[in-house]
Amino acid sequence: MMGYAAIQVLNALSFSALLLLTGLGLSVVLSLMNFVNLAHGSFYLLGSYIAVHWLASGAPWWMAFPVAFLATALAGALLERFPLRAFYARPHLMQVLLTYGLSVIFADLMRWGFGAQILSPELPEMLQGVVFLFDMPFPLYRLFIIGAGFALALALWLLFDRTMWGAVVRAAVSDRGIVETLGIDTRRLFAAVFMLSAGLGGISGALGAGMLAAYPGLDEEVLILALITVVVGGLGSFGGTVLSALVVGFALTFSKVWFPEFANLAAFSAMIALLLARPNGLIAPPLRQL
Amino acid sequence: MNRLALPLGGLLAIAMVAVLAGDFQLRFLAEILIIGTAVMSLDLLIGFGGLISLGHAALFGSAAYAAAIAAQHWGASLPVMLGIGIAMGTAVAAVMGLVILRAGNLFLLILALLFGQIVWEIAFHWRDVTGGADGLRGLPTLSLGPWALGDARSLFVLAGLLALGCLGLARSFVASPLGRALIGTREQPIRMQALGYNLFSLRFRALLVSGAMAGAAGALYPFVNLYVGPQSVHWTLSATMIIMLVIGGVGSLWGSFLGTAAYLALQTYVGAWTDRWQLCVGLLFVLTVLVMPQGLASGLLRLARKARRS
Amino acid sequence: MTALLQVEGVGKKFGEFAAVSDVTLDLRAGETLGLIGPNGAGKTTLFNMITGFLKPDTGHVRFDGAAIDRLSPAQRVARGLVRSFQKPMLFPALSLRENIAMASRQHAGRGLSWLGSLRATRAANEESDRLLAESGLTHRAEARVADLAYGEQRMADLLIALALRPRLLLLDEPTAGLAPEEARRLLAIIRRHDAETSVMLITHEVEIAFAACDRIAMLNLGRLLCLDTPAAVQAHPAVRDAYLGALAA
Repeated sequence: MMGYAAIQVLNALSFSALLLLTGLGLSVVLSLMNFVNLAHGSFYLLGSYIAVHWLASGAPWWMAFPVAFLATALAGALLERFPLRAFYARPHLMQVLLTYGLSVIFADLMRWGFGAQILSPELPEMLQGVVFLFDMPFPLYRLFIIGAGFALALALWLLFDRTMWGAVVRAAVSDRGIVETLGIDTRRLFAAVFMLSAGLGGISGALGAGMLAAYPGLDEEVLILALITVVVGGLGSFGGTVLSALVVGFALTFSKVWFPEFANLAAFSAMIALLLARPNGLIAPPLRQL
Repeated sequence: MNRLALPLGGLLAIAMVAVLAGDFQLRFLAEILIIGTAVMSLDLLIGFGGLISLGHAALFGSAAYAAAIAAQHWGASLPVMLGIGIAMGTAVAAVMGLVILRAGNLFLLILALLFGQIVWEIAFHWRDVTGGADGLRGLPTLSLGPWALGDARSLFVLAGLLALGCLGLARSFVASPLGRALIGTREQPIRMQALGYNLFSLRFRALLVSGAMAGAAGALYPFVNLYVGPQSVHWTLSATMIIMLVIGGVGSLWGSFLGTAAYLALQTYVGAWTDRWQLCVGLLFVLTVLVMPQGLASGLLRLARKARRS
Repeated sequence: MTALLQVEGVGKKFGEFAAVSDVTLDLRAGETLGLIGPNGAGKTTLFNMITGFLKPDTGHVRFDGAAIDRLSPAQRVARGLVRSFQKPMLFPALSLRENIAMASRQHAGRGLSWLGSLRATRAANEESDRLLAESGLTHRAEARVADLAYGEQRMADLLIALALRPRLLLLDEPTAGLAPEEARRLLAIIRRHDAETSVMLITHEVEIAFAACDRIAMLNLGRLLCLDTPAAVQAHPAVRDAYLGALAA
């Protein structure tokens, strides 16, 4: 029993790590540019496919992750140039339609290019197999996800909290006017943030492929989960997103244990209940009204 | 005089089309009118309230399920079906309102999407009742007293009357104090509070009205489509409804029917011609937003004004 | 005479910055109270707390003897506590008459009616027309407010507030940006409603405060410097230093 619980906790943690990376990418674009990116799941799935093919190619396995990051960041950069950049100032309605349309296009292109079957990556030898915890087997790769995910999250936290660039982003999130008065080029700032966001989506997809595989439709599932993570966490708060990635990860994992058939239903409803109690998310930064 | 022009003209158009068109067209038009009515109910929220709901299909689809399930048990009497659809649409809208209307605009949109997904999860997984992924087929024929309404002509007339009735209601709603106040919350939410309006109660009422209309449309949908499945509550249908609305023209009400017709016609003709229909859907979204975000309705109005001037 | 509005030890901090600290003042029924002070003195923040748009960190607000701390802005309006905003906040796509009717319908309790709303609409329009006539804007009733001149918009903003028949009207810089003649007309309209409406008035223009107000409260750096008759305030040394002195110099 003890072992079973421990395994589920680790499952939840590895899932949370993926949610955290995708969620952070989505959240920073949402809170900095006030931009709803419904194509965020596409970056995740693209990252997954890249990892699957890279790991099958025989090239050094560990490079799959930086490659997925760079490739999706590049895709993000191109997309940001046209057409997304012109839509930061447009109403949310138009952003939603544009990015939804893009996600449908990417989904079809990826189905075209990578096929409709479920692809699982060939894991490198050192990450294959299981470890035993309280006599229960646990996939080694998931420990790797937990480690890599939280290490990346820590790096991101350092980036946002300890660097000059991070300070600028944080200042811009709480008050966009400030950055302009400081004479910082917001266009370049937004482009860089969007690239980072896309790259985070891609690298979490690359990490997640070994756990969730890659298949058409996964982009949408991940988008929904990332959106939940962002709203439950509260906009513009790093700590909130970390907390909510854990909450959502645990809620989904344990509802799968307890209500296998209605797992998503139970977890989503729990998250909605949480949002009813805290409409602005777990950690909402104080905003000045008027 | 003018107040009678719309209903009389509408009735005349319905009668003429019902006499002249063939079965295939009538069924297709009935589908346009029904989905168009649901899209128009969404226009009340988006066009007048500025409330971008990405979960409108949940209202429409759950009413469709409710009507289909009820029909399997008690037969498909028209007033009962409409009553159940309206009740279901309103009830789901009420729950949705409690969930989404407490948040700001950005959250509202995401919460509506999540709410729609919850409804989808129910429709997809509650197999005993909803038929799961297979949905529900083999529904009894719609009837009104002794008359059977299963043929394309009756269904078209029914859909036409529904659309016309809802258009009239929607117009009176927009002109009423409630509708004006809804516009007020879109333009100046803070001032509306300073005028003593309770924003939640105001938006909640609008959502109920919208849900009731979407529910009425949803109630007829299974009988025209002869099937209801989980796609009818999925958020991709919500997004499709929004694009239909934008193609038609946000805030025009009647444009919703135009946009629905344009979208469904494209789907029928382009879909038959390529297997990459999804790609075309995506391109349609992107092009609409890039090229004509104002929609067909305002384009037509502009043309009409130009024609009158010259 | 009893106080209509009592502000007791109210304070608000934004992060480390104390926008308003420990302000206590009262407004008597029937009077016009001026609120003056330099930029950043906390005047608008105080307004936001009185009208419920901002929750004070400390202190209480009482209106007509009852604590209103837990009431929403809308509930405070229902008690007769009405405000305007520093910039005119209108409904640009609607006509001037509809802008005012939005307020009078809500005051009549018919703001949210749908079916059978014809009578409510007519009554509200009559009330709006009365206010428009009184302010000489009848000829602009059908114009979209987005098309109105700035001075007309300011007047429209005031009329919207008056259509709620306030017991206490809080005006935030109602004459800002107006020509002297326009400002005088606007103040005259306010004065015409003196009988049923008490007024609290934020203004930058000291002359207006001294001319139009029964008493004046002076805020500086979030604190109340003094609250007295215009003559006494004018003579107050702290006021001279903080504000009037700077103007005179």
